[in-house]
Amino acid sequence: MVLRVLRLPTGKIAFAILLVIAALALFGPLLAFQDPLEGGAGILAGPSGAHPLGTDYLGRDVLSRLLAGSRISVLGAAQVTLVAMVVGVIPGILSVYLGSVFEWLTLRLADTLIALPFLVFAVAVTALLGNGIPQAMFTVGIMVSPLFYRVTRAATLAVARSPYVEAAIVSGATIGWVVRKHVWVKVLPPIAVALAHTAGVGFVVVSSLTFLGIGVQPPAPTWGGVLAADLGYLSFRPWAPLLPTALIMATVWACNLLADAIRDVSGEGGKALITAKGVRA
Amino acid sequence: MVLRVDGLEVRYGKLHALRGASLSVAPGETVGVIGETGSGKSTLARAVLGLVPASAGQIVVDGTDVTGLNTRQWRAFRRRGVVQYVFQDPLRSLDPDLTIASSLTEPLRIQGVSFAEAASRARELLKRVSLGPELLDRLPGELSGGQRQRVAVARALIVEPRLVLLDEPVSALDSSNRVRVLELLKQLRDAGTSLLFISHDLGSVAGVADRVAVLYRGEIVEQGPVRDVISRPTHPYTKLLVGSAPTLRSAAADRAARASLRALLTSEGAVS
Repeated sequence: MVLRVLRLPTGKIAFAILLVIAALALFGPLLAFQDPLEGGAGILAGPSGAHPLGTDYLGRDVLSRLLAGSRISVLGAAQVTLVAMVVGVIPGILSVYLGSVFEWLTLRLADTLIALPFLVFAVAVTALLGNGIPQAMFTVGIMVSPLFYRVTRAATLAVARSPYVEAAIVSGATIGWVVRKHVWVKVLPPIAVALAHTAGVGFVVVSSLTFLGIGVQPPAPTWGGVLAADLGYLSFRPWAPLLPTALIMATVWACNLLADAIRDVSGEGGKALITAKGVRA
Repeated sequence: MVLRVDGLEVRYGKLHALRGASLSVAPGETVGVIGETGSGKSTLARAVLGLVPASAGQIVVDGTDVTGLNTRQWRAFRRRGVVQYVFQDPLRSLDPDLTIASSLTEPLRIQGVSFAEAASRARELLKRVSLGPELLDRLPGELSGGQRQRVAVARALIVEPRLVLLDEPVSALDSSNRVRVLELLKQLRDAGTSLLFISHDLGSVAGVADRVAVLYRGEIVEQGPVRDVISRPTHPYTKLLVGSAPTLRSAAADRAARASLRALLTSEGAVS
């Protein structure tokens, strides 16, 4: 699967970008050459030799803050996505097959989560599990999971009653077989799109929760946090939001590309596509 | 008997789709089931396959009473490969994301046969439905409707079933492909496979079937050898059916005769 993704140009680009992002997450905090928390004399300064990206409103070096914040940001977004996927996708597929009681329960649960005010839920979970980044990300993941649930369920429903699934059932296929052979490939594209979307939401939500004192505690740096701080001083440093935005965008875009590539090579269709017609963009 | 259906009733909520249908198929026999849209033809096939539950009556397939089977027992029974089903719409009966090889071998793979063995069987079967082995690596979207339907028939045959249910197998095909698939069905019949051929078109059934059953509003109103049913139809609906197929008689029933038969049917419907 990985090799097949890498044979596509989109897969190569996505991998390259994500590799850089992963390297940032791994080594970023070590590369920060100045203390990301320590303010200097010049506040909101422009780029200079000492501060390649200038300083923020407290005089802290912006580049160091971005580098130092990459690990938390990336891990946070990854955790949000992972939680949302596990909590959303699996019940989404099973809701079609496990009978009406399970279906009803999961549907109502999804409705409840959608109706629940996000902040109230976040505060409640924080009160229950304690304040911390994993707890905050878990909360966000749960709140986003109805998206995955709905998307997966809709895609599964469309496949579940198709004649080719019935043909498999008439031959004695189990639910597991049907899901593996027929359903999975069809739900993957919509999940992939939702996944890229969620990764983006993850970055932004991390910073908005910081604003409430949940999850990442200021002055700890994150990409979203740097972006939020920059936005407050647009009149002084109008170009400043570009770099944190570019980092977030590149990550989300790479997730999107990767999602597309995975969809293209998934299933026999993808395999045949590659072997029969050479590599396709 | 390969298939014996006794007093089968199927309800979808309030809708009474089948009201006491009885039918049997002997080994090597081809039975046609004719009926208009909504008469319960497909429901009959789906009940035999266990895709819809029977509310009353009995279905015995190859000596196994399938009426009371639970999910697990159904699965075990289906894996024996006694019955197979060919769907009406060849476009949707093959998974668009699976190669022809994967679709063809699926019934065998479900039974646990190795891919290599299943693939060699698939090659044989493609030959039998006069398709080349080069199709194995293609996707259904790259095949014509007629080719797809022949692949669907080949998939049903790969487990060597004793009974094949064909739900309008030629309705979605153009006339040349229709003739091809009908020829294929005749070969099948001659090879000793029992067929239950469901159609709304008396013409396509008449050439293949030994006996026909006429299904009208969930009831089998007439049953017998093809020749008898065509030459001496007793039920008004069958008369209408035979009369409206111009190829089966030198002259089609005229408009007045058809109208009176329709009127008769409507009054009967009101009574029942």
